[in-house]
Amino acid sequence: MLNNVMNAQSFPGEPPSSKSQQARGEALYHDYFRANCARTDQMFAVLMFVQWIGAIVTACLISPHTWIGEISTLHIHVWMAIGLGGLVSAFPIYLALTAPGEATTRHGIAFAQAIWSALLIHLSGGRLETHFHIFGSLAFLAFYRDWRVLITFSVVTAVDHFVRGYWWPLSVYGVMMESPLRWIEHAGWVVFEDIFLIISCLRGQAEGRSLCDRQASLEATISTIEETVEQRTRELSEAKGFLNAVFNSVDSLICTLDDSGLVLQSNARWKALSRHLLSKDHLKPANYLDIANSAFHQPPTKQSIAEAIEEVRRKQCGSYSTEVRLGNGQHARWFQVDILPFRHNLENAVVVVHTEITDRVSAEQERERLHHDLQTASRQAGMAEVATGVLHNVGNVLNSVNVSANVVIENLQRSKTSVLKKVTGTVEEHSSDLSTFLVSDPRGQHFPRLLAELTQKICQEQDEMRTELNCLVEHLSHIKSIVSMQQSIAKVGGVAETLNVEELVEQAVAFNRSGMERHGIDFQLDFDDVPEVTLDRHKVLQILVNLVGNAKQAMESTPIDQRQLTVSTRHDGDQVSIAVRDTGMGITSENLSKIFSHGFTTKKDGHGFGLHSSALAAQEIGGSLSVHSDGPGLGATFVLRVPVQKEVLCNQ
Amino acid sequence: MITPAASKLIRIALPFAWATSVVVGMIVLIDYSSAPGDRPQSSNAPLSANTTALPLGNNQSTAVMFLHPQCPCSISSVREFGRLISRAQDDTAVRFVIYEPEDESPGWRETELVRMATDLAGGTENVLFDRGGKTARECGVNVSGHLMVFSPDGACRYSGGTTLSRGHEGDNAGANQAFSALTNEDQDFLQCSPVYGCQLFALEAKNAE
Repeated sequence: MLNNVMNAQSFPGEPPSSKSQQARGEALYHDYFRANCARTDQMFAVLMFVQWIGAIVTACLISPHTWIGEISTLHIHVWMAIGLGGLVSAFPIYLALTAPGEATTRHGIAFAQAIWSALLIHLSGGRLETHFHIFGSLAFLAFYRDWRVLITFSVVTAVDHFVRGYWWPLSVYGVMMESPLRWIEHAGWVVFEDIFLIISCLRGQAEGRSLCDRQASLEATISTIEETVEQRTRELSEAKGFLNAVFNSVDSLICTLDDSGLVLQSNARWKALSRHLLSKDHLKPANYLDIANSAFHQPPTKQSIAEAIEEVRRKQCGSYSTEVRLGNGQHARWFQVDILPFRHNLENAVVVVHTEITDRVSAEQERERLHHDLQTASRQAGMAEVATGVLHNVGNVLNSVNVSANVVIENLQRSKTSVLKKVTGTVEEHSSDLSTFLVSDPRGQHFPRLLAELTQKICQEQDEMRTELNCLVEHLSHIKSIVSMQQSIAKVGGVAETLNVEELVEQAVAFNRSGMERHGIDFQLDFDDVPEVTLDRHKVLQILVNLVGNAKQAMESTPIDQRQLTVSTRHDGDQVSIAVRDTGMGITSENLSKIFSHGFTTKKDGHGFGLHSSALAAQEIGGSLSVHSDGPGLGATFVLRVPVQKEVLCNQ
Repeated sequence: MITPAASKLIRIALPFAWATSVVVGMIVLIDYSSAPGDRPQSSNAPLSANTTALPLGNNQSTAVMFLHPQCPCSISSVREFGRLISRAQDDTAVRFVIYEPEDESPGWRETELVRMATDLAGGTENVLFDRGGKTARECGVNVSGHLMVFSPDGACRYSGGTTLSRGHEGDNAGANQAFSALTNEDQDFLQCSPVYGCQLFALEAKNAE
């Protein structure tokens, strides 16, 4: 029955307890049972005392004295109440006080309580009502939840009924004559109650065991939870320590502010700085805005830190960054101040991170100074480079100018104006008989034809010289543009204009046309259908003149029948490429990589500037310049690629 | 110095000693309760009420109980006497003889027992206060709760108690004999039984007299 009761108390689905948990449950039940018994012992100790006092009081009230005539003595009931009652009660009280919870104690109490029932029944003359004391005592003893105590009480009661019923039936039943077996009836009723009380005790034990098992399970769970909490707390503490270490180890000065600017938390570096500032400037403690307003010097165009904090706090998104200076002169320190929203359970809080950038600012200042020095040096070097470029390009054009001037001089030297002077002298000489001279003198007869031929010759000379002079003017104009372009390189940007690529190529070729004709170079133009480009005319022209001039010079050692220059144009996406291909001396592979370097040249009288400046110019107009050669003696091809639409003007 | 063995022996012996003491005490108490008071000497018992100053009824049976007004045990005797009267004929004359010392003590008569007796007797006229126990001595009675039943002709038919022990009510032989004496008019013999209660006077004093 006990097992059934215990099983009924188990929870469905509950996992089987471990052995240690079962042992803990047993230990808890043992303590629980013992504590309950000790508590009941104390209650019975009080009851024993009350019964004793009650017996004395009752004896004193009902039969205080016994009389012999006029002489009274204390009634034996009083003596018995004091003596026998005290004897019955004293021992269980002693046990309850000295050995609470012990089995001996509760069995002694059960025995004493049975004696008290017997005593009451006897003193009441075996009144039936007094027998209820037995049943009440049994119910009280059931508080122990130990059915063995009920057995002790029941056995004592049965024996008492048997003995007194046999020898003093009036004492227990209130009648003189009674059946000797009546004690069995009384004992039967006691057993009847015992059955229910024993069931109650067993159920109470089962409930107690179940309660203790659950308590053990709960303790195990709590222990597990506590261990987990302890572990988590330890991990959290370690993580907190780690974060604090990181927080205090970073170079930045970090603090969090509430909506009034009060510093909520800060790392060690900020604390150190704020302590320094507070002691120095006598500021009120911990108000960041006061510190920022009085100690930090911001650039005047920047938003103030207080306003920035308010804005970041209001939006709770985005961030604000500025640089501030602390102190002046050599002791000035620079900080980058980043204001970030503090995404935490604190509303309207912000995090302010101060990163010292004094070294960086100093480096920047030093770099700026160096840059200024470099600019000056570069300007000077640039001016020299410009001068070199001008001299080079102007020199190229001056060759053509020289050629044109020589042509003009040669034409003048070959001019027939001397013949005209002789004709004029002869006419003046024969001015008196000019008609005779013209008619009869054979020389005079030759004059008209001579004048006609002379006129034709002089006209032809004039045409040739006009042509050369036009070329000379073109060359001079190019020199002017070169100078202007070099000025633009040095100072201001050029002007982009929409250009026809074919015209540009023809113009560049025209600069070198006479030279190429003189060197017997066969040149060809291979134009594709290319769009117009928007570029600086003179830069493109400078590049092309350079490329054509170089090609011409590269073919000086090439047999005259193999000298061929081809200029072709192609449209490639958003670019236009202009290729200048010659059949000249070619370029070695090792020279291909450095051919655009400043100062590199393979010519005896070269400066290494032409291709360098051309490559720079190509970059400036947003294009590129590349070279390809299959090797020495196999010619070379220079390709200029320019954008169709130059989006960014050359303004540097 | 108590050795462990002695201590263990004490722990075992002490409960037995206590239980034994308790049982012995109970036996003593029961024995005391069952012990009757000093029995009246039958030789002194009046065989006829006519020889005494007892207030008998007229041509009717008379039941006379002697009481000590302070005796607690006699309450049970009076109650048994009351049950006896209620069961017997209505024409039984009930009388009480209440012992009273020579020198009347204040409040001696004012006890619960006297009030019960007065009520049962039907009035104070049926209650005789026996100063110095003279009447009791004449009747040979010296224990409170002693009942005497007289036939209408004044012959004593019963002399004894109405309880079987001190202060214990309940069915008992004495009460049955008294009831028989009251209800059986043909009974011509005297029956006696023990009386349980306080003594009306000391026997030594009586003997001295």
